[in-house]
Amino acid sequence: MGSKSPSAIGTFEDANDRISWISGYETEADVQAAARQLVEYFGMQSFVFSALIRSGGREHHRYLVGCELDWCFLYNQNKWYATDPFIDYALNNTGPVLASDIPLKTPGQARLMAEAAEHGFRSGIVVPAHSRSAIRIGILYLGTSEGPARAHESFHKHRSLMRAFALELLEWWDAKLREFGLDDFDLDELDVDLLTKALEHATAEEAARELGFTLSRVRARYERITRKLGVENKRNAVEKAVALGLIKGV
Amino acid sequence: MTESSTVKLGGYPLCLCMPLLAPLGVWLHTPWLSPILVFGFCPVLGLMIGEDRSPPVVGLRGSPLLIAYLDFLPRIYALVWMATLMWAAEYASRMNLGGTGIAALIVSVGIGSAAAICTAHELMHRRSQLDVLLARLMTALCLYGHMTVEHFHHHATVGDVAAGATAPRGMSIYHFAPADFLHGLRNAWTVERARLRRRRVGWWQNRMLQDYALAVGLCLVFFASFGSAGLILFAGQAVFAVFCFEVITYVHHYGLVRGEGEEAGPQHAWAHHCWITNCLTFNNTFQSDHHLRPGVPYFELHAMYGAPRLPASYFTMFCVALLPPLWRFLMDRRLDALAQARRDPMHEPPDWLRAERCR
Repeated sequence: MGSKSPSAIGTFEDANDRISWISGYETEADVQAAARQLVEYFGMQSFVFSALIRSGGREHHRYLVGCELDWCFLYNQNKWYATDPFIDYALNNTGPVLASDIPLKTPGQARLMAEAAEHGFRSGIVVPAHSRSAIRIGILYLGTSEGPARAHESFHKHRSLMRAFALELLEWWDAKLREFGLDDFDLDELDVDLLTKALEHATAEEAARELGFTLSRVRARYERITRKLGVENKRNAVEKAVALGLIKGV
Repeated sequence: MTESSTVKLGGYPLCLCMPLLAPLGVWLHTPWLSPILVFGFCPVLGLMIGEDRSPPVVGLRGSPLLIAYLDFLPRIYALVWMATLMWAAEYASRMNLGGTGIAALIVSVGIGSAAAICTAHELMHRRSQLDVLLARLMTALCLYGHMTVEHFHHHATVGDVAAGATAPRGMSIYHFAPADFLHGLRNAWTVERARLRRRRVGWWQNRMLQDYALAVGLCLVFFASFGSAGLILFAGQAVFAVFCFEVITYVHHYGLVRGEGEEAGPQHAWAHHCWITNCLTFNNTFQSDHHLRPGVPYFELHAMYGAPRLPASYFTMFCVALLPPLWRFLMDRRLDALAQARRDPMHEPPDWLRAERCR
């Protein structure tokens, strides 16, 4: 799919095609290149897509970035994801919205917005995307260094495409989630096999006999998995692994 | 030479000789060529070449060609062996071989089939479904339909006499081989029944039944294509190959019983790291390492300190195992020495009892 390469997007149909290709892209670089062109077509300049996984009181963020890297660094350094009003909005809403329509509740949020304006997000659009799992959501921020009129015009012209774009990005992340998840939690294929056996309600002994390991090794491995996933027991580990997309639920 | 991993990489394709010796023997009008070379010449060659001291081939991420070569070898073996099997069946149906002639052909092809079970063993541990399916086809061609299920059970129960695969001290191969085959059947059935019950799927998803159904189908194909001579050849090589595999299992594990609460370790498999045997069997002598790291490919396995040493190479000990008094004479004193070393932790096993010495 990487070969379906980016000529400039001129029409609605081009943009629609480019969005529908996203699910077939292999690498993050391919998705990023397509995303840049779409954002340009929307008449915006910057974007950040954040895939958010909420699990057991913790949040994991994964970003696809098309903006100044300084801004990302600043955002992470200040841990602004903890107070970001757009995340709050996306958690509770499904429709795209102009960033200026989201009320700022704290001085910290006002400071965040002021800094964002300095880094290419003077005005913008927030597009939430929700998956079938309640713990995985995506948030697409589109920004411009121009005034609110530009965002307003783009929003009314491309609202439906923006929504489709955010959903496709989330689908792509979802499909890649397994490999990202394995990296994040330092799990390997054997751990996935053991979690899959546990999902089928196999006892440790049955898992050992079917996977070819001694019982003591399987037990030790289950303990390690629960530790790495930060949960209490094997059952919780399975639930978390399903939620994270590491194994497929039945 | 035996310390070079490069030479070893060049030695692995020697395994293809195992199935090819059968047609070569026919071509040279020496029908018993294969067993003569494998059980007569190989042990001598093994003594001459010496033990495998080559380092394992690891860290190949940057060498896709080398990975492809090592990955493909077992698959190529499978194809060559299957072609030989077809040729042999066709040859048996075309020529009017007498009893001795057909027996020689069965043994010659069966040697390649026994090595094919070792190859299937390598493939069944891989993550690729295609390799696993190839392994299942290979074991079905050896009428050994429960092997791919039972082998994983064996890994979980190494050194447990009650679970099979480990012959208790004093048991002869003639008692062990049929008993272990039946044990394997029972184990595989138990594993599959539990798996199907958990998954709530029908009996037709039982891998053991599937593989035996495939084996029966293959019998019919051989009979339909090559007549009764082809069927006799097919069934004969399979029985011979399975018997050989049981002998290898017997040699690997004889008397090495795991104690109560004892972890499986290198001490639960006999070893003799003959270079030529390793090339011919995809490093099958590194059994101790394989027990502990079942998913590791053959070229990454290595000798382990703590594995007890066989008096001679696998091919020699294969022949010795067929003579129970000689087997017991050679092996029981080793078991005694091991037991003594185990009783007294200060008493290290003697050098002659260690497959891998500190270097």
